[in-house]
Amino acid sequence: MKCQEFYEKISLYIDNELEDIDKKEFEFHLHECQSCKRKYEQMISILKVTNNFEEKELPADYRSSLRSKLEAEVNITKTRKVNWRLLSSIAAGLLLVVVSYGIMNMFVINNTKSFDMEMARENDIDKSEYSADDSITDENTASMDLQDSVFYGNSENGTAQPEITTVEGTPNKNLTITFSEDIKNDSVEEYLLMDSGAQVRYNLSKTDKSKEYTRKIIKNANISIEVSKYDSSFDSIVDFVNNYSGYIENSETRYINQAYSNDVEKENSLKRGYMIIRIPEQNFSETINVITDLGKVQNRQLSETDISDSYYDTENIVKNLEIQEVRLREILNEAKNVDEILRVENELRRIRTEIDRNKGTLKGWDSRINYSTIHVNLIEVRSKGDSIESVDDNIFIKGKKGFIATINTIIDFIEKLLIWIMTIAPILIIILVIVLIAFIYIPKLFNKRK
Amino acid sequence: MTDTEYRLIKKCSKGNIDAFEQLIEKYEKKAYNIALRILKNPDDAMDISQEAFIKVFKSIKTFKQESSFSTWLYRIVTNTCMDFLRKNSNKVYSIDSPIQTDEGDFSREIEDKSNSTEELFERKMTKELVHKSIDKLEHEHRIIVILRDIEGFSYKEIAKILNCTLGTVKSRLSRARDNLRDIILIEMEQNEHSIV
Repeated sequence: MKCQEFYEKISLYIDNELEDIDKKEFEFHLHECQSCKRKYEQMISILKVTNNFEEKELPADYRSSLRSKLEAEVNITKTRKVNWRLLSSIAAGLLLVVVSYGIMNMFVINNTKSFDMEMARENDIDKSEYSADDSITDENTASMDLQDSVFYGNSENGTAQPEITTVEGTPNKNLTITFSEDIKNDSVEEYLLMDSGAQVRYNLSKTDKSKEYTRKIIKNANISIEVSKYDSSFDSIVDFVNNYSGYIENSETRYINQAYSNDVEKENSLKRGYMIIRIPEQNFSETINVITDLGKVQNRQLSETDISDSYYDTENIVKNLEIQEVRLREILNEAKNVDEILRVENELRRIRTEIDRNKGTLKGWDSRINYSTIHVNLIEVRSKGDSIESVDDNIFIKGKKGFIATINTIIDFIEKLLIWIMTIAPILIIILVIVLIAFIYIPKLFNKRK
Repeated sequence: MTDTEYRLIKKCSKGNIDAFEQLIEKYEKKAYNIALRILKNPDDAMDISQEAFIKVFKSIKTFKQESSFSTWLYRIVTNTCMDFLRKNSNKVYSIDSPIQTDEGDFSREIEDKSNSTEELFERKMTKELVHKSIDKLEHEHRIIVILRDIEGFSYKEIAKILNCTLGTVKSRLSRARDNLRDIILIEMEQNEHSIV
């Protein structure tokens, strides 16, 4: 093996990505060539440093600022949707004005050109045809709206693809009904998922008894509760956790209405907090009970992740590596020449790093197993009556819909009125002309007679 | 992918921020650290990693379940960082380039001169020195060194994150490490001169 080739393979050798033959050749060259060996060792010591770089902690306000950015993002998409509706209705109104203006112009020109009765009749027919067309397009847009809302609902609920296609296939009238069924399916599916999860766990616990070792389970919980007094609830959680030899990993408190920058809302400064609690595994369920007793539970989620398989696998890997290490040390003692010693030492070093890495992961797991994690969302509410934002939202949207509907009917009415006036305008003008003539000539006739 | 993760992703696609926070909680720190190493600046790292999370949140509907969520997330993080670097490359990083263009000749010279033993090398090599040297690597090389040697991703994961083949990962990592060593040697040389 040439030195150049050797350089190229240093990196792969360190990560144990070389084929066996290449590896042997590499090791052979490693003992042959002093300068290459130095390069190799330099690389090893560099990587030793990089592997030990410690992770930097997240900045204190990281989560809260991300949260407000996300909320802003959600709000933008919401307002965008509303704006579309408004824009489309404005556009429809403008279109109507332009169309009616155009028709009026056409009519006025026709009118000035001739007072012919027949022309007026033709216009009449045109108008009625037009209005019929208009009503048809109206229906179309209505059905489009309906479809739109269904698709929108679907995408929001994130139901699986095949369900959407069944919705598409059904006739328009049933759309809303299938939509509500979708929701049911969705929840059923979720239920089934949970069910199968439980079954798996059940099976696992069955096999449990046949094996001697304890299962390694990471417990997590996620609780959202509404409390009437934020500060006292917060303190009581902290006290409890401290008494039960747990600790608060992260906590954060902020005002709910900060993001809205509305002066009126800011005055009712309700608080909202988030905390991550680490509690010894045996106190897990008790802690949850205490927390849920503090207020009205909005959301409670418990999860247990069984990592026994990977845990014991890793543990076995470490054991095997350690046995290998011991054996290598024995070989090292019996080694006769420098060459052999170096070779064994290289192997030893590789094994040592692997042991360290695996032990690191085991340690991380241990801490997550021994200390369960509980995420708590504390939401302060003033009373049962005035805090539920979602209802407010619905009312606003409904109001907006009603408002738009009313405007649409007004536009519709004005449009029909205009059309009607324009339709009968020729007749009116003719009658007016006749009446005028009559007024001018009839008195003259009378006068002549007299 | 775990059951809970699957359910959380489903909730997120409905626009549930709480579920999203829960979902990314495990990955936030690592994502921030990757961004920090790539961008070298805590403020940028915070902005860009958050931007990446918002991208993840917006496009979570398009996430295909067959790949792992974490690699998908880290891929978005590294891509966002890369985009940021590309946009700002003229402003910030031009200072580094002369060193890199010379590095080949430089390093060979140093190899021949120095008779320093392994111990001496290791003693002179501090965390700060390595850190500084990693910062001097060009973008592509820096990212791959960060992913492999600092964050400890496997070759396969790196291939997925960077959207390239395993072969590319191998050769690029090898070149990146060579360059890193060369830069470290140059730095040591300079340090020595400054001390003397």
